[in-house]
Amino acid sequence: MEREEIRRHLAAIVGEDKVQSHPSELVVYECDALIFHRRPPDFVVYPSTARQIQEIVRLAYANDVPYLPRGAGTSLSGGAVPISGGILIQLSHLNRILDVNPQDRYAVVEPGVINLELSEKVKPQGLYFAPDPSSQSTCTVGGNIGANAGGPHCLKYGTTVLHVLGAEVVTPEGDLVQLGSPQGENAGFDLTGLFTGSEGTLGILTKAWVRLLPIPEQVKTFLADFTSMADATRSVSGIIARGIIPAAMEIIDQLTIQAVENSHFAAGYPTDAAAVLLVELDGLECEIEDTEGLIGRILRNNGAREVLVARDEAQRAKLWAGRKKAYGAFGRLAKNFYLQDTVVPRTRLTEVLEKIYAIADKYDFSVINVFHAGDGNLHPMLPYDAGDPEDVVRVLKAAEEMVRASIDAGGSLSGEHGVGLEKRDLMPYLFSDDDLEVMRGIRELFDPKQLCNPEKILPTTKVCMEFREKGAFML
Amino acid sequence: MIPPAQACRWLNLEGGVPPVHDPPDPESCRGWIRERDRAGDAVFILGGGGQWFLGNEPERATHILSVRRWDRILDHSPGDLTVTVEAGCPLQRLQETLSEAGQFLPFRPPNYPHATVGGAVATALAGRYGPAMGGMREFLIGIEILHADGRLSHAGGRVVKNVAGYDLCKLYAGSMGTLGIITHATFKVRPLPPASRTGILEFDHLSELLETALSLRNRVEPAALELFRSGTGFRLPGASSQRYGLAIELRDSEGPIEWKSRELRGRCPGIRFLDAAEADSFWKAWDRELCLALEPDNGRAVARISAPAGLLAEVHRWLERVLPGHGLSGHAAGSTLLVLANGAGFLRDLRSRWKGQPVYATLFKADAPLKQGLDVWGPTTQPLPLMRRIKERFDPRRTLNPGRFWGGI
Ligand SMILES: Cc1cc2nc3c(=O)[nH]c(=O)nc-3n(C[C@H](O)[C@H](O)[C@H](O)COP(=O)(O)OP(=O)(O)OC[C@H]3O[C@@H](n4cnc5c(N)ncnc54)[C@H](O)[C@@H]3O)c2cc1C
Repeated sequence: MEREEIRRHLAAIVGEDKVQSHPSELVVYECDALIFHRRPPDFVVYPSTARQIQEIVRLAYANDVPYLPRGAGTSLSGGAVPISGGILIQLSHLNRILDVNPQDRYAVVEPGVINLELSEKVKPQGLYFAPDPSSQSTCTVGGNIGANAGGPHCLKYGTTVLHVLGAEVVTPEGDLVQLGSPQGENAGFDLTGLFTGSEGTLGILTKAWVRLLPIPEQVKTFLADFTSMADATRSVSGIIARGIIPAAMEIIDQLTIQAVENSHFAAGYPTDAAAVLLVELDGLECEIEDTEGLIGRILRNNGAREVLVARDEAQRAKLWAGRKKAYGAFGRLAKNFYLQDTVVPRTRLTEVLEKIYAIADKYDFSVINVFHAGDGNLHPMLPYDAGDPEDVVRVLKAAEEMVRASIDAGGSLSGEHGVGLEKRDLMPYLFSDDDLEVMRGIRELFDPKQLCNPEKILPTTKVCMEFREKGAFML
Repeated sequence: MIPPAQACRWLNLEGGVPPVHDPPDPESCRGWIRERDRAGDAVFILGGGGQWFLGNEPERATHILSVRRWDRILDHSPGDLTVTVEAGCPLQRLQETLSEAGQFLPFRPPNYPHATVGGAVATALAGRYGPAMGGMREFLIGIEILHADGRLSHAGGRVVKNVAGYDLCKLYAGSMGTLGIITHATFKVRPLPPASRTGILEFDHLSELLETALSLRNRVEPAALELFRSGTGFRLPGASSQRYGLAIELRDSEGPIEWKSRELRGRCPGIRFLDAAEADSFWKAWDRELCLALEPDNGRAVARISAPAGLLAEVHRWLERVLPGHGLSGHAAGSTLLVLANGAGFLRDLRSRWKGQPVYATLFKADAPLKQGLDVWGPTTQPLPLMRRIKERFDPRRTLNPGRFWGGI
């Protein structure tokens, strides 16, 4: 089918005004929040029903046109980039909260619902949606499920997958199917679990049954400041080792503290600290009372100079704003930032962070570390200049070394941002041929023609071989 | 653990108990399983054997593969709250090791005393702590699989947060050994609460019980909220066949337990707290009664019914009419009932009565002859062709546990 003919078919499905095909319209969709990979789609469509998505997918399938689902496009791994062109299915018009069931504690939502809006909607019922990526005011529940997103509080509550009970999905062959159920009963394999985190490669989510949690009765936030990063990371291990799993434990390094304190997000972090650690406890009052003393002692025993307890909601919000807006606080300090995401066993945090600083030094970058320390999830961020090709090569090399250092320490290549295009070619560093072959099998049996978000997650055989020969990160 | 011949009593096997292969380690099993696969054999995988009552009658069974000798704890990293353990390791032994470090896994699969780690993963039945603390989906973070063609593959890892490719742990957990042989698994573990207390409440109506359970769930966050009623050979100490019991188990440190107990007393004045010895024997009796109900050839069937909280009471009112005197156990906050009855015929009626509604009714256990001609799992809401394709891809010759799973997978 010719391009124009496809456009006509798409327009017949969603309406003329819901199809874009002019280059000036398409360029907006050429990349996601990771800017290294760019390619505009041939069409952008805005369906508003599952039925329309089904028809689009069938059209694509019959004509061998690649396509992919996109939520808010905040993916940091290139997962939402139409790298093979084709049809970009923009899900922002499927944004209704269809049902809220407070008794069974779930909501039925369309994929384009914004993460934070869901929590706000169910707040009057004393409930919320637990996954809280820092992008939660813009990212979508569909994108969260696509990426299996995390966030500070998934230390206690787990990543998105633990909050998805069931899913309605258009399969890559165009069938509309239900995975899981409102009760989370699987009736067979846990296909919901498999689908979550599949980065849009196994089909398009059109509706989800998501778990809601009761808003904790009480929340208490601590800020501990340290004169060395190692003391901060050791405190994290110390708390976990004592059998306490706080709601969140986030570390903010010196560069960030200074940037935050110089910005209008100033949170009251001590500017001479090498690192601060935010620890949040939530739950019943009695449970918090039971652990808070112990937390204070562990922090002090590990070298905390001072342990501040947020006295009220306003101070708590301020302490968190510093963390959540940390990246924003850097503003124009560099032209660009490359945010990496790796994960290590928590007892290896101190050692791997030291390596990360050394790697940054070696490549002559400064490195910013603001991260989900409680689950060993590192987020080194490197300032660089995207307009300077040499700088780009250097930043990619440095980042790759950081990922390898994490994997070498028994970790993994991503804790929450996903593989996408960014880390696809590093997969063989973590997985054997046989491991990857099994994953490839999954991909093929869901999507025999490999049209649904192609070229993501799994390296091609060629890359595998080149990788092994050169041991280099291909781009 | 249950001897293979005894485990086979749950199955209707023509030609008696198949030969048992008992390799010392997964590596030495690779050639063997490849040969079985090539020869077109059908291999049943044996962990503790305590959950062989589950699932359809096997299509064929020419061999039993016992993984009981793969029983090492490969790596326990208390500071990371993770543990890697071989499939044949008894779950209770793993718990003992974990508890020395003040940790545990909240799994209580049926026939718990016989359970192995691999079996627990394969059925993904969490037991009484599941609704509050999470099930296999939450705790399994890494796995190694021996495939029917002799290949070994890994998925996940040893970190508690991981999005490197497809999360195959989710697929293997609960797949009942139909996709591959679990050789070892890595879990994130939980801190072991230092204290516990159990209180019992009684109700005239199940609907009242469920309502109370849901409100307590938010307010005191108990570790377990289990319901029960004696009947059809299921007897718990102090439980009558007229009333419904709710066992509330708190697991916490002392302070919160005291607070929560006061809260419970305030809200439910009729609550009776058990002392430590009573609680211990109550839960032992609980496990034992369930084991007895699940025994082969006892004439009993156990059905597992799950529905949204509102609907569950309605389903049960209907059951009261068609199946008077049945025994009952279940997760009050997880909206799941285990119904103990003489005979399994009621399941057909139940399914047709609640057709089209989110009521899942599976035949959990029945004597082998009762299973014949009955769809043990019931209709699935998930796409069966897709599930069949998964089976085909992982085990094209249908060597592993053939026929046992949903849709005859
Ligand atoms: C400032 C910033 C902070 C961030 N902080 C975090 C954080 O703390 N934790 C974290 O985990 N992530 C974080 N992210 C990454 C990102 O926000 C998350 O991955 C988020 O879940 C993506 O949602 P989205 O709606 O933007 O999805 P998109 O970026 O549009 O898509 C993400 C992936 O999901 C797929 N997808 C989208 N919709 C569907 C659907 N309906 N069906 C199937 N697949 C679909 C896409 O194809 C793509 O592969 C952050 C990003 C930014 C820019």
